[in-house]
Amino acid sequence: MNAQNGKKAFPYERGFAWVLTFLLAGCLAITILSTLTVQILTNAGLHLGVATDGAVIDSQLSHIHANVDMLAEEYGFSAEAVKKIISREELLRVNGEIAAWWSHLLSEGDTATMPRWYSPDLEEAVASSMNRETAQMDPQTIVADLTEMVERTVFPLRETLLTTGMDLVNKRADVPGVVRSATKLPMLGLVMSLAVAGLIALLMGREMIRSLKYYGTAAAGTGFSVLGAMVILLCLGPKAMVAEASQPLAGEVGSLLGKIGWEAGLGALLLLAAGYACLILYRRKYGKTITGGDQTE
Amino acid sequence: MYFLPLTVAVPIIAVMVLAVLRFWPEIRKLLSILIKLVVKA
Repeated sequence: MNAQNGKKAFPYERGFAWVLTFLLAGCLAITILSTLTVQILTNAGLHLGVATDGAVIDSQLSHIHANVDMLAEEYGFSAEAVKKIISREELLRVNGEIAAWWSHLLSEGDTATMPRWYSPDLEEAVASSMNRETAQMDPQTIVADLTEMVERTVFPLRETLLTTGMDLVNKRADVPGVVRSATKLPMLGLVMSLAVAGLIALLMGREMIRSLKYYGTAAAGTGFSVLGAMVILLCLGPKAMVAEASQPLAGEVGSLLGKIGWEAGLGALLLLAAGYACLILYRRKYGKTITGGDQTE
Repeated sequence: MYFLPLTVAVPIIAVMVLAVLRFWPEIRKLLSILIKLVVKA
């Protein structure tokens, strides 16, 4: 093991160290991935942030207003009166309520019915602005259409399918328990990483500082890999794929990916910084005595 | 020395790129079906 006299206490020391380096990189990747998954599953603030994101609300508002204009032209009611009721503030409130319901569904398997949007002023606004003699549709039907359109814009997914699916999952598994267990995954990944790092240090014996080379390689390698995965995901264009099915949903997916992407990117940069700090320290220690990286071993 | 992290990152990224190139049409089809299933028509 001693590098000075050239003896190794453990045969194939470098080979094992490299295997453990890849294992460490895997554990670090699991830690990052599980942290992001736990965020999506349990962070109600994240979902509220996505639902009340300014860009998402703007996109929903323009989508709703375009539909209101279309319906107003078709049925002959005042679009402006309806637009005043379906305001930005009202959308923020509805989005907040639905985000809370969605968070409970994801984290606790709570299959309560989705909050419905209803405004008592809407029927009055439609009825009072319609020309009753030429009207082709009664105000209640128009209000029902408008209500459904607003709900579909705010939450474009089939909620009955989701709650039925969650009911089936609830019958077979304890969803809150599974989610609670999942929240321990990042810590488990971190503990595993520390354990592997400890094994590398043990393998290096008295010259533990040589472990820095392997720690640095694993951490910075994971950082590069996470950044690579993000670039690949960006190239595949998940937002555009969702936009083919629903434009409002694409806005929400884009906002969620943006927020999660920030965290993943920050984690990757931290790993890169930590990794290169280890490599620089290692280089400072051995840089004057070596020409390559491995001659000290 | 400072290129050592690439020994970890390059194989992982290469596997991800190859997997995407090989399976992307199937994955895209599956995702498209799933999205159509859960999104309101």
